[in-house]
Amino acid sequence: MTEERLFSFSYEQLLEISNRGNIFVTPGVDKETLISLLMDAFEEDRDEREELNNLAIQMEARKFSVSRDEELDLGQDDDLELPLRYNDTSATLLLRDPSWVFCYWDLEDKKVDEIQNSPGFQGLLLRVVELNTKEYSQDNVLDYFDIPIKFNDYRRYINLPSVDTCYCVEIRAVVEDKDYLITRSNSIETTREYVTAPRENDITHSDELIRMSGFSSEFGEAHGVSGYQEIPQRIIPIHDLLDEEQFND
Amino acid sequence: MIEHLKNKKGMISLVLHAHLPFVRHPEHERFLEEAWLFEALSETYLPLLRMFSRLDEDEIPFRLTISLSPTLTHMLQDDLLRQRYVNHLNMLIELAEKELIYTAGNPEEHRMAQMYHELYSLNLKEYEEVYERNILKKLKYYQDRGYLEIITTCATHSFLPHYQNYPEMIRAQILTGIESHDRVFSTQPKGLWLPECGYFPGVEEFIKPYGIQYFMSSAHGLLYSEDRPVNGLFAPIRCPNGVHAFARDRASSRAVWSATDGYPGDPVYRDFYRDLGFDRPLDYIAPYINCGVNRVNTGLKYFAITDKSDNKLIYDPEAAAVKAKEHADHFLDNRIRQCEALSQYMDRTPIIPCPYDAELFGHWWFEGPLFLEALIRKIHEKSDDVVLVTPTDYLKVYPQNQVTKPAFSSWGDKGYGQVWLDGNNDWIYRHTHKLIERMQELVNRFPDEKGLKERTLNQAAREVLLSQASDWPFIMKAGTTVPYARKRIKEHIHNFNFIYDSLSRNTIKTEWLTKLEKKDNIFPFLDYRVFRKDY
Repeated sequence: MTEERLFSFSYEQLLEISNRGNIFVTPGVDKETLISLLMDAFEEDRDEREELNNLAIQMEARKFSVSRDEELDLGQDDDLELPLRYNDTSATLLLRDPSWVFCYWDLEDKKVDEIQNSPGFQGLLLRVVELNTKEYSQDNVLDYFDIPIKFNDYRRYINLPSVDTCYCVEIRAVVEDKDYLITRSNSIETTREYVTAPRENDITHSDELIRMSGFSSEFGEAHGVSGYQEIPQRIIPIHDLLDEEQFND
Repeated sequence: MIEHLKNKKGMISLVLHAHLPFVRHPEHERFLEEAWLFEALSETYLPLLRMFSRLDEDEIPFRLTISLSPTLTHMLQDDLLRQRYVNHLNMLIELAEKELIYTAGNPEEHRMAQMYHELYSLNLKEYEEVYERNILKKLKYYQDRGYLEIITTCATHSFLPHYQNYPEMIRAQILTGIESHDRVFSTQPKGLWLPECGYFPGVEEFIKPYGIQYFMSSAHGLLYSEDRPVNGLFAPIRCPNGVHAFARDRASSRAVWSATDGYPGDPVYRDFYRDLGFDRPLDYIAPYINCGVNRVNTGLKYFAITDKSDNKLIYDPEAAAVKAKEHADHFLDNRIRQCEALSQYMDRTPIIPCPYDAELFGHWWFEGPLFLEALIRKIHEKSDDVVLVTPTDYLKVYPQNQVTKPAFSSWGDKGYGQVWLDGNNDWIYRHTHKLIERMQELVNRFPDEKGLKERTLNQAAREVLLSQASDWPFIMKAGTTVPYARKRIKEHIHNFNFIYDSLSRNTIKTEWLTKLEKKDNIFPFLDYRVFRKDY
């Protein structure tokens, strides 16, 4: 999107663009100022996107760079409306990273009526269940916590308390202070975010080699990807490594 | 050969992943996003082939691994897109000719216009006369010569961790990818590029049955393995079922990926962002941009990176070529020193795996193919120290490797699944998962159909696979061409649901189906039964 292109749009179209981009515009602002505001917002948005992505993603995105700011195209894409839901009773859990999962669910209309009409119905719960294996059974439940939900909720991100374990979620109805299972999701295995400790009697040089892989040398403790992001990024790390080697010697 | 490789200071494994999503719009005379393929052809694939040819002529042996996605190979063989690429080149040659006149009074810019005129003319000549519009044949030639190891990826480049609840779909993605590869290259691939390096524990079980020996992992995917990898990133690990995982070396990745402290950011290199499409008056450039009004990149870029200001110097190809060689020397020097340092701690020759997006070389980093060529020549000169190998070569030398399992990971931002699952794109999974369930339901309802029904079911399977491309959620997250990505997902979901409902009502519209088959014509061999549980 260029300034020149923005000038070719009507004032109403420019307001529509600012609306779509959630760009606040003072009512009655003149066209020139509006365009200048939009240009600043686009630039800020571009910089932010670049900063938010790692190198692999920045590089991959460039394959699709035939223009700039295409997302502000005034074309409509909502002529193909998708159903909001499929009138099923199910819940699905997706692992996003070691600490967050995404859950989406649906309850059949018939089921909703049945639950709502139950005498003593108090509300719905999303139960996050920690398991000691991926297979669900009562015996495998390690812990759980509940999140109250409403009938018109269909999805949620959930922050997990533990890493390297298994979880599933359940949608439950609370009726007269007791809760009943409506549906249970698939189970997922979460992941580690650290280099595991060496085995006993480890005679390898794994500490050095892992450090030379660009990771922290403090391997005894959990070392997460957030820390990994903060490791000094070096184009010539080997020089630094060699210096360190010499220093250690 | 094996002993010879064991005596080196190190092995370097360059893995180029070439992929573009399926973009083909016969319903439009010109379609902006088809330029993704045309630009990649002009700036990456043809220059790489030129580089292979020069190396071959100079008898410089090389060993590279190239992953070619099934969507890309299909588009490279598609007659409509081939013709459109020729039209695209003719249009750019016309623009370059116009530029030769426009820049007549400015010798520096005129030289640039000449450069592009020669480049696009050469591209056209070679594409038509040397490759006869089929560059895959030439890639196969280099594979047969022993220079390339061509591997594949999933059918539509699906981010597998977000579909791990659907084993039939994971299998369908992998099997269709391998079958597509086999049809093009007449060989079974030895490696599989996991889309976006997206690994989840257990994916190797889907890979193993097809003879796949290895895949590439992100660095932390391997470092956070069940057992600590005793050789760091410098030897693969072996999953318990025998499939190997090679990890990306972070130092060599950053050197060529970073725009700030990597090589491509050097001031003498060509500036990717400054394009004629934005520099020339609108009425002049109108025939070469989108609909004559939306300025887009034309590919003609006259300026060097210079600095962050808008006052750019004109690009000097000779200076850039010299710099690319310097950078290749620097890169190799660092890898050799890296191997020397690693050797102190390893009981085997270290391997430095360097996987990159192929399109980085040429499309974004214009001088990338020159860098690669200089690097390969330099490695050949220093072959007493280091050697280029493919992962398969390495596994021949060192078949025994530490057995453990990598961790869930990707090469995306923050290293897990969030690029393909965040507030911008999470809505898609409710639908794409439902499509898989419905496809499985269709396979059970219609286990052995023939004729029109079979065609309909095969098209349904195509739409399911196309809806799962990792590119669409990626684009929604990265913020480029978002409306197009959204539209594509919606279209495939809509097409599938229309088929599903038609089959339920037994009212298949032959004309509609034929039109869709002609539009989404990927995987003509696809058998819908691939989604059957016991396929």
